[in-house]
Amino acid sequence: MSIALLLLLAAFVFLVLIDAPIAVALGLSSIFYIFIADTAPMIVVAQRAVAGIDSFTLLAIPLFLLAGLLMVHGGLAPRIIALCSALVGQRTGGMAIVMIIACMLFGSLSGSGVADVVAIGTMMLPAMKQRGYDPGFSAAALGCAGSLGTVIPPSIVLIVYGTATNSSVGQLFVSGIIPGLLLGLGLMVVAWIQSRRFGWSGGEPFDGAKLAAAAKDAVLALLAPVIIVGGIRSGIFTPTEAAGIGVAYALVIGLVVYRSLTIRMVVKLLRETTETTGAILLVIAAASVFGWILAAERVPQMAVAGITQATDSATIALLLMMLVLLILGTFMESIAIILILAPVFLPILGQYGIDPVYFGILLTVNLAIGANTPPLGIDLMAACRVAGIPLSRAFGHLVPFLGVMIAVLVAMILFPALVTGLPHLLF
Amino acid sequence: MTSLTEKLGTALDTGIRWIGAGLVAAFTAAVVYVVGSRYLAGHTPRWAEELPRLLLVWLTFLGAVSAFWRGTHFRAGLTDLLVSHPALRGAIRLLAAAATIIFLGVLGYNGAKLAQMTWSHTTTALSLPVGLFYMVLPVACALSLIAFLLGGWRK
Repeated sequence: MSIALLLLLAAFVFLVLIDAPIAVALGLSSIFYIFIADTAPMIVVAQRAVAGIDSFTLLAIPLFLLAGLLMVHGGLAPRIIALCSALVGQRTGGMAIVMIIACMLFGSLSGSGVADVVAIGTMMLPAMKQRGYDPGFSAAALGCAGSLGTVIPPSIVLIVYGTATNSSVGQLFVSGIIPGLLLGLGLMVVAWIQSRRFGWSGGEPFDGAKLAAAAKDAVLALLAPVIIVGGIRSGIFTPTEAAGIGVAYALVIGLVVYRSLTIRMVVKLLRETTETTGAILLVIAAASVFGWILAAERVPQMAVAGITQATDSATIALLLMMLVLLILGTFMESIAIILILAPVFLPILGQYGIDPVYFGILLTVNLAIGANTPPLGIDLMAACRVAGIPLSRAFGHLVPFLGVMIAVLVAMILFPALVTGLPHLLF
Repeated sequence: MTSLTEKLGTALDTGIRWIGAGLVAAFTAAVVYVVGSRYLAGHTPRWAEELPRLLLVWLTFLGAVSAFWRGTHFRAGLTDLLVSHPALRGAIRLLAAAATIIFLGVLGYNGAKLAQMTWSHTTTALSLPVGLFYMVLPVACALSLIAFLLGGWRK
């Protein structure tokens, strides 16, 4: 390992520690490296930054962000939540279960786990507090469920992973369905058991007529995910085009059918999309420069050599990579981790014959666990901030939630068909 | 009372977000039009990929200006956890601000050089100057620096 490379890594870690934006940490450490190593003209920074985002696939990110916002403000998301409430809201732990379902459906609104936790938590936590749920429990459930947006399609994190590893985004989306459902169901079971134990009841009593009305009202909203995932899976659209169609669908339903949207609100959402896109894609632009340096320094090859010397077993190699991801996932955003590590891990996967699509799903589940693992756990911290409680108050309630997520991850490692079965069936 | 720097920063942010909204609307319309054109008219326009990609590049860096003003770029958020002394926190914040300023300066300057170098080259589908893709760097980095110095660094 060259001195310049060590300095690159040291500068990156230092900049992350002093809370410089992740994009600045990636970009400035790369600039520092090029200045010290003098291996390329500085202009390469500008060239790589633009090349990193000059991609048709990445267009899906702002389009899915906008589609998500239009669904929430256009009345599609509230109708689905109302249907879930009518279905299970009256049962023990019903509110917690509805919150988990809301996170599963709309958890990938912003591409940032933290922002999703804040968005959904702001809607759900006050109502849960009113029903007597312990805020520590609610925050633990919200943090874990809020991370599921990275696994369940249309996950922005999976789009970034697909672009970084040249994997099919369509296959990644389909592969994430069963693990995402398992994780969501697992969290719901924990929520139900804990609610029963502590006597947290549901909302209003069950009403068949109310359920029928909610179901009728939500039909058009429920069609949105069918159009998006079905369109990609059937080859009618690319993921980017499916995102565009999702925007058009949410717009028509919100403006014309539900009339929950106004032109003024649409413009506001377009402006919100601008800022979020800038924050996400600037990380990708800067990571493109950083990744280029790692490749030039042959870091992926070094990583392959290091791991192959340590073990012949693909499972142990997988576990080693998972450990690195788990540690990084506790304090860094998923997108940044993927962009830094994907080029390093990709050759290792090739060496051990591990399918990059399968690995991508393991990686996202792992990052979801990392984002809720103390002492840092950024999604958990955000959930506690929304709940207005110290981190320590959620710890006791966190163990069963994290336990079930780890159990799903282990099951995915032991039974890869949980991930690969559905895409093999459909593609 | 709102200070002049706050007013200027907000005005810049508002302008950028309006432009960004236009860009998002434009490439959404372009993507939907391409799908419609493929299935209804049986052909794909030649700008189908190139134009939305150009708009995305501009949107990214202009959107970053707004995120620099609002302080919403992704960060690890470790300082508050690791450092309790207010003066030390302040010093660390200044250090992070200096890092941002250097990054934006270097990126913007080299973006301008690259835009100039590639302006005479043309893109394949639309025969636009290739430099248009890089031109956003000096523009957005300069605007980000202004937004950051006007008060974004404190947020």
